[in-house]
Amino acid sequence: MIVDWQEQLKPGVALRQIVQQATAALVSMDAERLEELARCCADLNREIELSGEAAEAALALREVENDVNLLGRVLYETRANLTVLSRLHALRLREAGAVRAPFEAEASRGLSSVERKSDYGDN
Amino acid sequence: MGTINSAMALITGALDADQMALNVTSNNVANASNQSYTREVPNWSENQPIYLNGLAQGAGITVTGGVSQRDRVLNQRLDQQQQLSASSTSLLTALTTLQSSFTPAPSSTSTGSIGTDITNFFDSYTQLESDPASNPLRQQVLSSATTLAADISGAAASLNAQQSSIDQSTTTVVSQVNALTSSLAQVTQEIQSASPNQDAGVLEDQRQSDLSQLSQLIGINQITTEKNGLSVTTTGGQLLESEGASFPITSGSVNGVTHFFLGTSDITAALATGGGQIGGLLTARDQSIPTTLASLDQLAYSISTQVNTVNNAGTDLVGDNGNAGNIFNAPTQVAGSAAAMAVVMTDPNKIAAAGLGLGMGDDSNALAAANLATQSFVNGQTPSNFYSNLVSTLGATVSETATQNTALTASVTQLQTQVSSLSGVSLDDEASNLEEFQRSYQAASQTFTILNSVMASALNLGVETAVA
Repeated sequence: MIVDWQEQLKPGVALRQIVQQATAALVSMDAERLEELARCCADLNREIELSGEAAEAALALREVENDVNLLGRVLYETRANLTVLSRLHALRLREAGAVRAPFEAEASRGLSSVERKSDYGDN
Repeated sequence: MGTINSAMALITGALDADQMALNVTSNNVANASNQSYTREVPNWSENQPIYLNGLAQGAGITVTGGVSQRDRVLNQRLDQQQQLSASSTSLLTALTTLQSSFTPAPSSTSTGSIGTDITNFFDSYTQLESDPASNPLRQQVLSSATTLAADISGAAASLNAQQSSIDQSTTTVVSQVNALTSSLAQVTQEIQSASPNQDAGVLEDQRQSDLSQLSQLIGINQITTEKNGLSVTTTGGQLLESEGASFPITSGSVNGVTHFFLGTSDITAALATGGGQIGGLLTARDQSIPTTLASLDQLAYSISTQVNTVNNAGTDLVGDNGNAGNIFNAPTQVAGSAAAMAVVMTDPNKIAAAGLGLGMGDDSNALAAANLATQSFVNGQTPSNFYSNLVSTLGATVSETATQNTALTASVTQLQTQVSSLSGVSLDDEASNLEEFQRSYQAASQTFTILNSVMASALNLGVETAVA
């Protein structure tokens, strides 16, 4: 992805863009966009290290403190939502397993429930 | 106040905890069949117990109708987040209004903020020092005192009016709550009568709609009972609806403030912390506004008392020694001092600029009054610093609440999307959806982790990045 900060290497501008866009993408659960932003952030971090501008980056972090704080809060809420959804999915998987289990057991004996009914009821 | 450090700490903890959460899908098929897993069920919605057909604890979950059960739990999570979001929204609205009481409109006849008034008032004494007998300079002292008193009492009046308005709003909200719990009782009766053992279709939709609306208004717990029954309590555990019967919240005045009751129990404090619109309103009415008003009272009390004391310790222009009189209305107690603050002195000659027993050319008492500006007599702070801290604390609270509100709104949006996209889908689609959600979370976590790394690098260089 090409964004302004790659050309200008202004950590403050870049950080604010990344953090704000990450928050918006997280709300809409746009995985592709978030992965792209994570790569941007990694690139930016590398540039900061190479350029020896860590002190400037630290100042930039101060400027975007509220944005980072908001991303953190949304991330925190997202984690709780994800936990609920994961467990609900697990519950549903379990139900599906419980329903399948009797059929699978009978199938292993070479009979379906329908066939067994026929054995006893068909004249 | 939230800092980037605290945000990092919050998420560092969350990321650690999340490793377990993300593994749930792959591990839980086995886990779900044991009691340990069952005991985790109440934790799904963080604070709120969830009872599945009355079997929240014991030897496994009894599930009837997987999809509807899942939707119900997901809706409960959504309802819970809506309660928090609604509470945060109403609190933020109230705090923003509260904050505006300290920011006069540009068209206001006031000279500006109370902070400016304080500076101008003590500066007027400094100017009086240069010519203690000057009538215009004495008039200026009274004029700046009048402006200061008017702005402080005006702010107090504004806060009291807001508190009264919120008090009325709480009564309206509780009326809406009572109507909804009554509706819930009726629809639950119909569900239990018509569909005790199966999905109640339209009736269930109606019940869910009532619950969603109720969640906007008040913090609730939902308890699913046998035969498609439902009990609803406040988050404090008081019954609002159970088995087709509703229990209305009543109200009464306690020391001039509306309190709310269920039976004979005063549930006002529990409602304030419980969530929903009523939670935010009561928090503003009973905590935010009183706290700010108390600070304003302290400021008014301290300034009035100290300035009066200094004026009565000098000699005025007509020769009164040590009893020149009060400039401000003398407060008898801190509470109510801001609303009652006013200038009672009408004769500028009664300003005691001279030291006790000294002639009209002396300025030592005017100097003593001017020096009050730099003395820490308001709860250990100078008047200007005390007021500055009051305003900045309020601003930080508004900012923190706004951040929290945005995050909760985001959470509600996520859940609404999930409720919509998961309705009636296959297991495969559900898994795919969940995978997308996990990818989003992990990528956002990476971004946050990298920021943390930048932060750590900065700290290693000895650069302070936390803002207190």
